[in-house]
Amino acid sequence: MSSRKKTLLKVIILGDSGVGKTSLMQQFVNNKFSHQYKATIGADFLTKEITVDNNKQVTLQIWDTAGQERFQSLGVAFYRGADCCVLCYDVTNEKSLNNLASWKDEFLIQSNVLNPQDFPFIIIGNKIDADDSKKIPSLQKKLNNVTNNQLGGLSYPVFETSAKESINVESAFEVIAKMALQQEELNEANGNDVNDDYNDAINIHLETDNSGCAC
Amino acid sequence: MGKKKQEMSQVYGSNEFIFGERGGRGKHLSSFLKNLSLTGSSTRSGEAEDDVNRNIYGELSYGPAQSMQRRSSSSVRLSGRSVSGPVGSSYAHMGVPEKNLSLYSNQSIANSNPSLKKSTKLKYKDLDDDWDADLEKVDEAPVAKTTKSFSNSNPRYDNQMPVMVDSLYPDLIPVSQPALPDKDSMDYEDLKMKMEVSRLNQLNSKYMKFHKVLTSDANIDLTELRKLSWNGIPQELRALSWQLLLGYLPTNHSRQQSTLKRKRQEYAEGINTVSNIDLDEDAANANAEASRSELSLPSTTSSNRDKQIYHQIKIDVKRTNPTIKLYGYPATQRSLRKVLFLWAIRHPASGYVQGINDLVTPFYQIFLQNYLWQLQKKRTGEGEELFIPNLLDDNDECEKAILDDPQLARLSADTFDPGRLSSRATLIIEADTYWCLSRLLDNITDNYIHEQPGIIRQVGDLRNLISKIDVELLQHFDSEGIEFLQFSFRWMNCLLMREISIPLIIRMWDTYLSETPLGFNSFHVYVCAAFLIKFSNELKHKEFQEIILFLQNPPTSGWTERDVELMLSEAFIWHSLYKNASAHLR
Repeated sequence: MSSRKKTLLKVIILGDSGVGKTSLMQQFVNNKFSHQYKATIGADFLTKEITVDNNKQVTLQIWDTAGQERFQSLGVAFYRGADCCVLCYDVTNEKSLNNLASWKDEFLIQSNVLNPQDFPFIIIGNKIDADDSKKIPSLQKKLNNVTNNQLGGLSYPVFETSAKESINVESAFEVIAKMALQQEELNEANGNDVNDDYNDAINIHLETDNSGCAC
Repeated sequence: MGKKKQEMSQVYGSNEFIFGERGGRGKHLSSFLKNLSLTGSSTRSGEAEDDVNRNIYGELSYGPAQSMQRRSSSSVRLSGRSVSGPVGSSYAHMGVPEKNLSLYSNQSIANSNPSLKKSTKLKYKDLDDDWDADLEKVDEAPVAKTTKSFSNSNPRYDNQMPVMVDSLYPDLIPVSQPALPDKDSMDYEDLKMKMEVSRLNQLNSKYMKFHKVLTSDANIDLTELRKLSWNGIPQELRALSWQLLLGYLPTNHSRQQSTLKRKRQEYAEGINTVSNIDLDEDAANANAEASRSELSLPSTTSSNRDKQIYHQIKIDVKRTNPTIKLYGYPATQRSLRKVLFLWAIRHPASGYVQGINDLVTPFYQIFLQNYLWQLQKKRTGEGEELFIPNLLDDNDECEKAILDDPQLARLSADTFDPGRLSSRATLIIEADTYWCLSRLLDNITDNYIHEQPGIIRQVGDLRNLISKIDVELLQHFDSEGIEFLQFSFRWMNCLLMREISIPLIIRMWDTYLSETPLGFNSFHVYVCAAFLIKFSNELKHKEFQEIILFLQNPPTSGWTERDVELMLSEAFIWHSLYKNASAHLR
């Protein structure tokens, strides 16, 4: 299963509704920005092949999730096997910043990763193209507060981006890819293959469905 | 109703019997369906035996419809609109809706081949009462026989094999390429003309049938309306029919005016009670004073939860159908916000859930279109007997202005700015939209409450269904690690509105609204199965990544009504076959 030539890295993008998750992914994968994205339902999926560490060819499988809380119970289907989790907020929306910790917690609960303590998270503050007057006042202080107190003081990389004007998006995803690759190698070293797990779960389901008829 | 239930149980009782006889868990479904398709249209000319073994889908849907096209100028199905002619009426007395005619029946074959007529008729009857009896008799031998006899009587069509046109739909032959006789140009012209005349006749006769039902003196016969609507409602009668099918508009003509008046009043009062949130926010920038006096109270009175809901609605309405001009107008967005917010406040168990913003749009668009249509008709002075009561008002100044618009005849809801409407007309359209949306959502409340159990169940049902219909596809998905939730969650949450264009969704809703119970819940799962299986052959050759990418963006942009009608017909068959079988498995 894990002996494929290509290295597949699974990346999950989380964050409140409307912070620009879809736009970030579209900007990174397709180098475009549009005002015509509909609200994401469930999760969207895109892939991109990139080179990490100068020579390693990897495929990023990016799941762009829905922001509304109601969809959180879906996480199990999308988070499992993730190699990196991107926590997004909107630099003009303080609530989205304050929610980062709950997104992280939700992810750890549902993804069931082996190393919750050092699982790679990265923080992206999007919409830095917005007018300064609209931005969260004393953002840096508040961000530090969130990372120190709510996110456990772990030094997650932070990027401020504009999906609209393509600022910092590429470099953020380079770091994402590196972090995901490390996590993948760690998983491999531990002989952990999440995919096997996952197929078994389905097969059990199938059998229960079919065993009901006795005639 | 009681009588109908009895009939249904008979039908499904028979189904069980079929499954018992043929392997219980639907393992031999393919052979069963094969036979089914053969009884319906065994007369596909000149096609090799192994054609029969091809994808069931093609056999059942595209095949017969297409062969019908070629068969005769009085073809039942033309250019994407299946209209029930004489075949339909033969159903009527048996209380079976005129569904999936293109699959079960082939009147034109019966006409062109008298020897088949008898057996075809028998089959209709069997569908209702005892249809497995007929299927029992269907075997390879008689099939071969009928094929042969048809070939003999129509040598002219024998060599017309379908041309592969589109790799996505190997079995679909475009309407634009009818296999017309090419040797004889007189025949060609003649046939072409007959087909066009027949098409227009059918449209007209369809309209007249609706007209008759909708203008009947006493109560409107809903059963009859459902039968007609299942196959698609004429554009102009859609708003009226939908309101009746949803039970919003009473079937009793004398009660219609008062009921609508009360409902619209209730909506207006509802909006007043929730208007502590600034529903007119965007307009407020332009006209702060006016909007404040109209709708908004100090926003301190609204709870934090309400504010959150409203914020979510606001950002979603902005990105609803962004490619359609209508949804870019501030007036449209304001109306949608009001309808959605009132619904969310009135349904605290679910509140607003993303995707409901999609579901509201067909109603809004159809009711706005109906308003324009009524104005158009008013100017030409016709069709008033089919107006929705109390919609027009001679004293409405904005309405007068639209009536005087020289472009009136060309106005279409797609591009119309509802800012031109009076607050009276706006309120009516919003109210009708609100109540119809409420009725729709009443059928799928479980889809939007905490943890969305309705959707989880539907996704499970879809998987289960695929395990019976196309086990190879399921096995392929399993081996690739595809989870149904990953691609079909959205299909349920947005009722396929993200996958299929609005005009076609509207056509699908004609059918959904004609199902009892309404088709938005369980019937929809069968439609999703038909939708997925449409791409089965391609998907089986793809890996995880490509499968997900494909299903994120399925190639439906070229779809026509014909495509969705075939999909609906197929869903209907599976619904009939399995609805009972799944209960049997429990």
